[in-house]
Amino acid sequence: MKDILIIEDSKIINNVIKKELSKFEFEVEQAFTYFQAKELLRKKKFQLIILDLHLPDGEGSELIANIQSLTKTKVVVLTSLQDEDLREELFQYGILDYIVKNKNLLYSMAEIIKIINNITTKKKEKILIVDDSKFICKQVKTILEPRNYTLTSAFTAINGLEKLKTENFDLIILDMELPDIHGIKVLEYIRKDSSFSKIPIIVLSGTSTPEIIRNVLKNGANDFLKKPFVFEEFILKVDLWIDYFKKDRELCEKTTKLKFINENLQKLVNEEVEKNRRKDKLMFAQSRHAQMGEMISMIAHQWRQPLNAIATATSVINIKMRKDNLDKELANEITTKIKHYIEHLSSTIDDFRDFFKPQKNKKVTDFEIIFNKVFSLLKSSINEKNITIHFSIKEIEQFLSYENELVQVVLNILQNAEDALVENNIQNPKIYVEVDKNSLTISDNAGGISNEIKSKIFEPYFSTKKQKNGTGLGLYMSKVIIEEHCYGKLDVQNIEAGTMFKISLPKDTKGFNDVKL
Amino acid sequence: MNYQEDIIKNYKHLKLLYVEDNKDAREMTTMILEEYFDSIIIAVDGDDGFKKFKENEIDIIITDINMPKLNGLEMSAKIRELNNKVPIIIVSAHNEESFFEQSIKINVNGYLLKPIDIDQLSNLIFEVTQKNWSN
Repeated sequence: MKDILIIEDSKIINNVIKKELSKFEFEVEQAFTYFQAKELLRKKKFQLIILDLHLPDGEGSELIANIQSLTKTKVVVLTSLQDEDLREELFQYGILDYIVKNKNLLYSMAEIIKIINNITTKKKEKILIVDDSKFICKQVKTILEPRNYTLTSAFTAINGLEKLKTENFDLIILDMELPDIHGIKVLEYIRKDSSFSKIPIIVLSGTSTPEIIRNVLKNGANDFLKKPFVFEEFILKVDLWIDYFKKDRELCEKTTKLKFINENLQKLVNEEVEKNRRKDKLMFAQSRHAQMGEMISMIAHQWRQPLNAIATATSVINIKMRKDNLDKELANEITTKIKHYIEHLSSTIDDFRDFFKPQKNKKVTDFEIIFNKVFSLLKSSINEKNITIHFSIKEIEQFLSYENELVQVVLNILQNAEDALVENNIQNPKIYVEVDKNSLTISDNAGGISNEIKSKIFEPYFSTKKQKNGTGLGLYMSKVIIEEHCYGKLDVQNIEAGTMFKISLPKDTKGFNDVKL
Repeated sequence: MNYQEDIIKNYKHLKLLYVEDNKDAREMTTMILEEYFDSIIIAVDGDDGFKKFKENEIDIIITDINMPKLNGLEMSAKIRELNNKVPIIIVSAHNEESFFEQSIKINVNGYLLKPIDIDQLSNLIFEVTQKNWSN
């Protein structure tokens, strides 16, 4: 819609309309008389004419008859004349609308602009009209085509149904009195087929007994018009049902899309959960491997003394033999000692092997047992660093949990404390471990954690250990073990001289009763 | 064998301070050292060692590094403040660079890695005692 012609004898009104329409990038021309309008129409093709009916040198309505094709040149009538007969006659010609001038011209302008918008945004919706009267078909075409509808006519029911199968329609106008099949049967047929079941149907009928109206509506028609009908009413109903169908279709599409998204979302969620599960498993394995590495270094520490003692013992045998000083008694003493050292080596290996044994079931334990297990693994390394461990028990209480996993967590926290004490070069390094029923606190005097880091220490792959090449998984796994496997809580806070970790476990009373103590 | 016997003769009369915290290692090593020295004073940690050094006329010191209270290097540094001549031999399970460096700074006379090789030990004792006497 580009070229617009305003035919209006009042200069003021004409100018106001021009001014308003110019805001929308239209090419607007003005005619103030019938004659001027006729001249302009001869020279140029307009897409829209805004027409005042009362002109000083002729009637505007006559101009409409002169306009060759109302499909290409659309007409909006703007008049002060409220004449119902004329109105209906003009609609019959195919005018877009008949607007009675409001005292406030801007109201009328708003209506005009609405019509223009409607026409420009309308996609050529397809309408099938099934009526044996060629006159009616032509009439409907004349009034609907200027409104950008595409009309297809069928003069028999069979013909109409065939067309329905080959093309997609947005509206069906169906006559009841057809030569081959009665309209009701046609309605039934259309509604039975799921692919047409939603297309709106406006029924035209020569008779309008309550019975026929009832049958028509019960069989799935959306609307009923008695012939002869008022054109404007017909147009309004067509617009209404086309609009309804459009919205209904959009809604259907959105619903389908939403359904698809929902299904996909469920799939996505499942995939993510599975991915997370695998990631967690991998992290577990990674942290396990890292811990194995640390274990090897702990074993090295544990073994150093007894191995050294054994080596020294052989040296003793060696030197005593050289001097012929090795009597039976001494030999006995030394071999007994060597046996004792070897037992120590062996028990260390058992401790470590126990630690890596997978343990699927919960068992009754307490934090003293757990601490002792950890301490037997860690004591050589801690002693070597001159770290003092203060272990105290406020109150002891047994609980049911995964002992090995808890050993892993306590070991991890103690190792972190150990590393922090060494890294920060603390004089008088100390670690305090306190048991209070089913909670364990581990604190050190290594100086604490800055707030910035504190929020991150439980994140996976976060590590501050530069020298030891931390994996950044230890505390993350500890958190997972305590909070997700054991349903407890693992917290950290800064205390006076350092950091305090607190493990609190729930009292597993339900499972506890199942196990005989 | 005779050669070793000759070496030992040179220092057997010296008074040794032996410092080691681990009981097993201490007992075993003492059995070896008894073959080298007539009189041995035993200390169980750095504090004890320093105290016994002050209390006795010590001619030579053999000490471990990793010990509670005062470690072997710290003890050696304190002894060096009083006496820069007495030979000190460090015996350690660690071959970490930092320990070597510190040992050099403190001016110890020898550094041996555990487990002790008896011939190495006897040679080192001979070396450090000879040097000292000749000085």
